[in-house]
Amino acid sequence: MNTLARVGTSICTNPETRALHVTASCCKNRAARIRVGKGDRPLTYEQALHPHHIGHRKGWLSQHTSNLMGENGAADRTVEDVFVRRFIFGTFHNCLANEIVIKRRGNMLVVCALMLQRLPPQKFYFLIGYTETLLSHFYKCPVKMEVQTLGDKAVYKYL
Amino acid sequence: MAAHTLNIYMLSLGRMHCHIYGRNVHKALNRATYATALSTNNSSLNKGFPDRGSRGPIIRRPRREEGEPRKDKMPVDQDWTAVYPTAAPFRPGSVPLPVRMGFPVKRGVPPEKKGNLELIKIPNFLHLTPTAIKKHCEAMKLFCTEWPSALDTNVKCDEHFPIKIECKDYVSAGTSIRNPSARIVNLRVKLSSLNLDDHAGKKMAKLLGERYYKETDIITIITDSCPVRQQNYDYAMYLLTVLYHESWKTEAWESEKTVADMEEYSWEDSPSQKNALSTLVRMQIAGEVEGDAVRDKLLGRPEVQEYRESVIRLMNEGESESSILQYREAVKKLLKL
Repeated sequence: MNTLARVGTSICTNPETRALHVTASCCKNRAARIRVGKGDRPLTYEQALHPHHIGHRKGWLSQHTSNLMGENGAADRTVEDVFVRRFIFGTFHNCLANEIVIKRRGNMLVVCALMLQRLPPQKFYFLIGYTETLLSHFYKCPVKMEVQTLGDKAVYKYL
Repeated sequence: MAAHTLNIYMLSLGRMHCHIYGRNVHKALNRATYATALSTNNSSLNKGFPDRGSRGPIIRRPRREEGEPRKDKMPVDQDWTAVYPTAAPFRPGSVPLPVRMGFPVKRGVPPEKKGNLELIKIPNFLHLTPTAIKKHCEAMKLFCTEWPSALDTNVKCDEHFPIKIECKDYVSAGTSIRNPSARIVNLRVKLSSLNLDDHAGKKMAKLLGERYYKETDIITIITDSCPVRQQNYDYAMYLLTVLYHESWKTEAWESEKTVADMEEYSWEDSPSQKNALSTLVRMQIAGEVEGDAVRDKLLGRPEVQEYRESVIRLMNEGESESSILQYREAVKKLLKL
């Protein structure tokens, strides 16, 4: 079990006090794994394969050059990715069929999303335009969304 | 309409006077407004939906059917560059190939392309077919200039442009174009193309140290101490200029150059010469007085010259089959074996 401890700065600087801070335990052998159930829960390919399959049976959801050797900016790109994922998850509430794929081509951020046909197309267009404009202004780089819609989620297996 | 205006009046009244009359009055007024609001709503079409006011009832358009995917309408001889003109993620409806990607389920096949995230994740080169690249080349030709026809061999390029500068530009995916490694400047020039005499050449080589590679005769100066590439280039050119001028000057202390500082082996005044001459003299008729004239005569002899050549070759070039054989022959001739 991995217990992550966060240390408060005021306790750190004061030499006479001691404290213990704990978070909820985040076991690495339970991360991103949906446990076997009755057999009626549909899973997508992304959900069905566990994190140790990344690089072997799964690709990477986010592509940029910062993780190559000798390149800078990995942390900035990661934070941007996390924000973009949460933003789109919230904007297209209940419409996402699968995880978002983020690609960076030079300065441009391309967000590839698979959506379900839950909203009328006009609302989709509005939300796509809204996301693109807002994120472009926020990150000061061109943001493009490539959206594909499906009738229902692509099921890989049932657990 | 009258009831509507009464509503507004009572609401405003409630808000203005609630602080005087207290909470109970406010609640009573609110309840009154709520009751009247309900009565008007019952007659409208949208039951359970919030009041849309003057916008009117919600019009339910019937759900449109999705059209045929593009791949079903593609002729065989179409222009593929129109389907994928630029880099784009994989679109299963636009690519007429029955690709499957993914790890198959037990006793199954890899998942199909519809809704397949794996195909979207990977970079594809559908926009870079040979036809597309030909089109790119045709478009770029307008901006290109011909290579000068006079510079058709490497030798000519070296002759006219002896100094070669190498700088790297970096492209990365992200919001910043800055890369600190782009400031490094690499300057390469051949020592023989500089106007240096014997002494200046040797001094330059000594000043450069490991930046001068003797086998290829190339001086390499790498500058990265300044933050800007222009500054590093100027510094490299400055270093070259300074080295050139300094190597032409002769300082007073350079006359103290010892045998250990010499770059090449010279046979004159070396132990090898002394030993050879003393051996030869002893081989001569004993009793003859050694004098300068005898030594000069001995030095002038062809076998001694041959011996000198072979020793110089051995010392400068190192040991190899041919150089050791040459030394052997020279020694045999010298000692008349």
